[in-house]
Amino acid sequence: VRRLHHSYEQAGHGVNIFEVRADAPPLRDATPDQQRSLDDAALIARIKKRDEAALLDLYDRYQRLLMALALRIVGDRETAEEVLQDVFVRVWEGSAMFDERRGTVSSWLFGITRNRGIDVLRSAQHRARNREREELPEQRGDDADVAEFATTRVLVREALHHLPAERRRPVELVYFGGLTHQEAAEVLGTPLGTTKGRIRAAMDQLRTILAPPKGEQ
Amino acid sequence: MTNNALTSLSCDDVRELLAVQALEGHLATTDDRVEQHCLTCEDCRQVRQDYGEVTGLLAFGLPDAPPSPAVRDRVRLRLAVTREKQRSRWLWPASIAAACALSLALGVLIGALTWAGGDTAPADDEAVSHRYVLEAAAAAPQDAWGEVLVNREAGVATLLAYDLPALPAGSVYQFWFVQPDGSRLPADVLAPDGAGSARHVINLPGNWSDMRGMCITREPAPGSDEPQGPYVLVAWW
Repeated sequence: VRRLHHSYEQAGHGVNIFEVRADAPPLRDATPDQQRSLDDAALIARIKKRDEAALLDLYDRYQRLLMALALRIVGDRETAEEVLQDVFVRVWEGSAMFDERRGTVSSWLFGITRNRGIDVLRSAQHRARNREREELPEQRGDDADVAEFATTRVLVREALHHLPAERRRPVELVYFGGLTHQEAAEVLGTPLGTTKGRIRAAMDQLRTILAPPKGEQ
Repeated sequence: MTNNALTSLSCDDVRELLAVQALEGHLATTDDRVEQHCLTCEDCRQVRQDYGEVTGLLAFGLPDAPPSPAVRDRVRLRLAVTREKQRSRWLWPASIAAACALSLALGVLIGALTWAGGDTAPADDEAVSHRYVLEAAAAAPQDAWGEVLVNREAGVATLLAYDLPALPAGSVYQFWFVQPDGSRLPADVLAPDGAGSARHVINLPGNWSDMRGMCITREPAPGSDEPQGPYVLVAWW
C-alpha cells in the first residue's frame, strides 16, 4: 500500500486534482453528448468490421482524455504513452466485447485505460522506474482543443469540485490511485466502515448530478 | 452460503458494496448476496447502473494531456503487427496440411481443429442474434473477460473466455444460466487452454430468453447442482 501510495503521491494525486479552470470552453461550443455517443457507437461498429481508419478516428477523438487518465495513474509520460498504445490495440482486438447496452464507448475506453494503467502501476518495473525519477512533469493541457467534450467536462468537474474533501480523497485514491477501498482506508487512516460510507456518499452525490433519474434530465 | 445469509443484506448494505465495487472497477461481483439481491431489487439494479455511469465519467474531470504525435504512428504499427499475427494464425494450419500432404480433406480437418480447439465452426457474425459480455468478477484478474454469442435460429450459443487464471488440480470452470428466480442452472464445464482461453458451443435451453444471465464459477469438482466456488465471469441480459 505504501509503495502504491508513494507512486500515487508522486503522480501529484495529493492535492485536489479536479480544479475547474476559469478558461474552460463555453457550453455553446459543445457537440451534444447524445450525438457523440452515436458517433462513437458507429466507430466501434466499423472497428468490429476491421476498419483501421475507424480506430484511428477513435484515437484522434479520445487520445487526450485517455492520455490524461493514463498519465494521472502512472505518473510519467513515457509509460502513459505505452498504456495509450496498449489501450487501442486492446480496443482493436476486443471490439466485440463492447456492448452499448452496458455503457458508453467513453466509459469502456476509460475502463480499459484505468485497468491497464493500474496493472502497470503495480508492476515492479514501473515502481523501480518511479523510484529513479527525480521529478514528474506538470500535467496541464489545452482543454480548448477538445471542445467536443466541453459539456461533459464542465459538468463532471463541477460535480467533483463540490465533493467535500473527506469524500473526494477516497474516490481519488481508489479510482486514480488503483487502491482497493481497504488500502485507501489504511492510507487515509480512517476506519474501513467510514471509508466505505464516504465512498458511497460521494457516489450518491455524484449520481444525483451525473446520472439523475431519466425524468429529471 | 445459506438462504438466510443470501437475504440478510439490506438495500443500504448492497448500495455501499456496489459503490465500492463500481469505483474499484468491478461491476460484477463475487458476493453472491449482492447478485442475489440485485436479481430481485430493481432499484438496486438501477443504482448499480448509475454508479457504473458515474465512474465512466470521472476521467472527464481531468485536464486533458496530449500524447506525442509519434504515439499514433506506433498504434498503427502495432495494428499491422497484430494483423500479421492473425494472418499467420490462419496460414499455419494450412501449411501443416500442405507439408503433411495426406489429403485435402485431412488438411482441412487439421486446420479446423487447430483454429477452433476441437470445437465446432466459429460463430458466423451474421448469424449472431445476441451478444453478451462476460465481465470479470472480483476473484478474477481484471483482464479476464468473455462473451456469449447467441445464434437464436440454430438454438446454440458460443461461449468465449479469455485470460482465465490456471486452475488448481481437480478444479474446473463451470458455466451456469441464471434462472428467473435467481437459481443457477448448470450448463457445462469449460476447459481453457494453456493461455487461459476457452471456446465452447452449447445448446440453448428452450426458455433461454427468460434467463437473467450467465456466469462462470471455479468449482472444486465437476458435477455440482449449484455453484460451490467463487464467481469468475458474469453476464447479465
